[in-house]
Amino acid sequence: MIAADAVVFWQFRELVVLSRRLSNADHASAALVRVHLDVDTLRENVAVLESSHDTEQFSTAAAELQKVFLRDVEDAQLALSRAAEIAQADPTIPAALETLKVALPSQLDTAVQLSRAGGWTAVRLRLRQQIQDLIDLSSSLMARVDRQAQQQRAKAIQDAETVQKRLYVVVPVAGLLALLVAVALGWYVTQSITVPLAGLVWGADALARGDFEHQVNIGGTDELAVVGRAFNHAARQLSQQFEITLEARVAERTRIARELHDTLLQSFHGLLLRFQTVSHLLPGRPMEAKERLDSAIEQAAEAITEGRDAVQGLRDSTLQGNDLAQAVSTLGEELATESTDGRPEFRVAVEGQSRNLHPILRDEIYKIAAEALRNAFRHAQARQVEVEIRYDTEEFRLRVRDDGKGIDQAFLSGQRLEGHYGLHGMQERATLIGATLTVWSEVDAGTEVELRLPAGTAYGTASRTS
Amino acid sequence: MGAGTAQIRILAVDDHPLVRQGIAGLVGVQPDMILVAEACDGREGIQQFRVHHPDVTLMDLQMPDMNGIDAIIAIRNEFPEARIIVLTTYAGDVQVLRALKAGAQAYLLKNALHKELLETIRVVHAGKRSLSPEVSYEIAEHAMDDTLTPAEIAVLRLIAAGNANKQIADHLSITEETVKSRVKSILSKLGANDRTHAAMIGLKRGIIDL
Repeated sequence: MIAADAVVFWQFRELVVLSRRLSNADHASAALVRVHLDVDTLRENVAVLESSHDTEQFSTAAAELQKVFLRDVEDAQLALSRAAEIAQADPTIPAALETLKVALPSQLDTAVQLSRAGGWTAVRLRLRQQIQDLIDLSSSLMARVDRQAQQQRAKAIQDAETVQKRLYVVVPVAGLLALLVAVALGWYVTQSITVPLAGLVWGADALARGDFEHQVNIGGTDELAVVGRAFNHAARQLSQQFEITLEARVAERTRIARELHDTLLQSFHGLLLRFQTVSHLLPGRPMEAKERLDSAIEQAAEAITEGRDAVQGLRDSTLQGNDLAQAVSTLGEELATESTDGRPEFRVAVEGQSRNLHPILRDEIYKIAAEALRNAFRHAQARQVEVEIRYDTEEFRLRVRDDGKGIDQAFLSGQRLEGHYGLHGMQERATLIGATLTVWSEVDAGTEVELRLPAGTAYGTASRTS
Repeated sequence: MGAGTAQIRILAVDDHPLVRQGIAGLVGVQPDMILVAEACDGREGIQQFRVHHPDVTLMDLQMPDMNGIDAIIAIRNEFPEARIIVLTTYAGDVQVLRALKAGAQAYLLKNALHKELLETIRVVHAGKRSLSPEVSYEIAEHAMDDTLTPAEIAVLRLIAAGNANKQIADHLSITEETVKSRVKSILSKLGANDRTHAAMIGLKRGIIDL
């Protein structure tokens, strides 16, 4: 490409040189014509002056003519020196011009001196003879220069034609080269875009198939590489999210199974045994049987409550909205209406700007709060139940407080965790989500359950999903 | 009630008070049986056994602190003549075999307690073994299956607890690749479609505990 351009440029440069040489030759030729005309004019004027026999006028005119002649000769010399090719081709030309330059003034001087001496005939003879020689000289000079100029012109035309021919070859070749380079460059650029794009399409397909391990391989630092890296990052995030969701589902199912096993199933197993006992007692001891049956019926009612709690736990995890405070309020109101002996006053307070919690975290927090609320409403015989949710910059905090009868220290110290308080489950949930659960309780003074979660855990993961 | 020494002396070990109460009630009205002690986990069960030397021990399997299998092994080590009936909610073949190997004479499902408990206590007290048809069927169904290796069981347990491969790898100090290959082997041995399914099968067959 560049080489072809250089060739073209060089050819144009040659044309410029040619045209300059041509114009120099023309200048020289024209200058010589002027010199010849000067000499010719001189002869005519001298003939007129010489016939007037006026020495003064003759001398003035001669000086004038000589001045014009010398100026034109010098012009011609300059032009010749520029058109060096002419002097090179015919070295006699500068010499002849020099001769003319020297000879003509000397002839004029001689003629003026002769006229002063009154020798007009001598002047006339001399001038006729000598000037005729000079005219011949200038004429031949003019002709020679003209011939040289002609030759230069012819040569220039020839050179120009050569240049033209060369350009005829160079330009199409350069064009073809340019086309080839453009095609190659285009192919390269297209490849550098389509290959990574194809990789991205493959990656998207893999993701759609559920292959989260697939990574798009794009090197380099261009925009597509950036897109590729973003894609890989997104795929990893998606994979994590998917795994989290999947694992959470497995964990949830295991938890439900455990809960059913620990609550409903055991209650029913117990009930079955009781009914069997009643059946054994009925024939011989009907009164004792009735007593046992009544107690069994009571236990069955409790089992139904347990079952309802379990179902509530399931429902809440999927149907409650994003707002934790709202969910807690709803449950509290529900529990408040449920309680038969003196409906406790219920209040939910939110402090700080409410923040988004990760759905799984929110679910677990809700379930801990729900367990604490159930304890407060069902077992504490409280007059007031209070929930405080606090979104601090350092941590998330939830407190469930009641002014009821308090929990026996035996339960709190972890000696006996089974029974109705569900403290063990709350503690397990808290540990699972990286929270700390603290329970304060004093007999007849009330109970406070506090859940604290560092901000990084509580809000940090929320931005990933929302 | 009745003639003191003729009664079968029973120890009930179960972490659920309602089940213990139910057993107490039913056994309490049988003239030939007496509940001599209760315990709410395996450790307490061993202590009560040492104190009371019951004729028959009723042992739950899923209990906090020390589970039923470990308690059975400990009791049988100390008292090779101990007669133990396993009471549990699920009839997982692997769990049944484990209990029998540990030294239990009978395996009772809790949903059949009201019908089979008294008869089973008497049979075992007489020195025989007893398996309900449902339990026998479970064992028969999987008798020819490939059993999971201890390493695979460890992975399955962590899957059921809701761990991702990476967490499992960290827990067990193995590479994620190893976890993946074990998961694959688990799925194939259990005939499971996916991890969730595998976890559920594992729980059902008693390969892992709740």
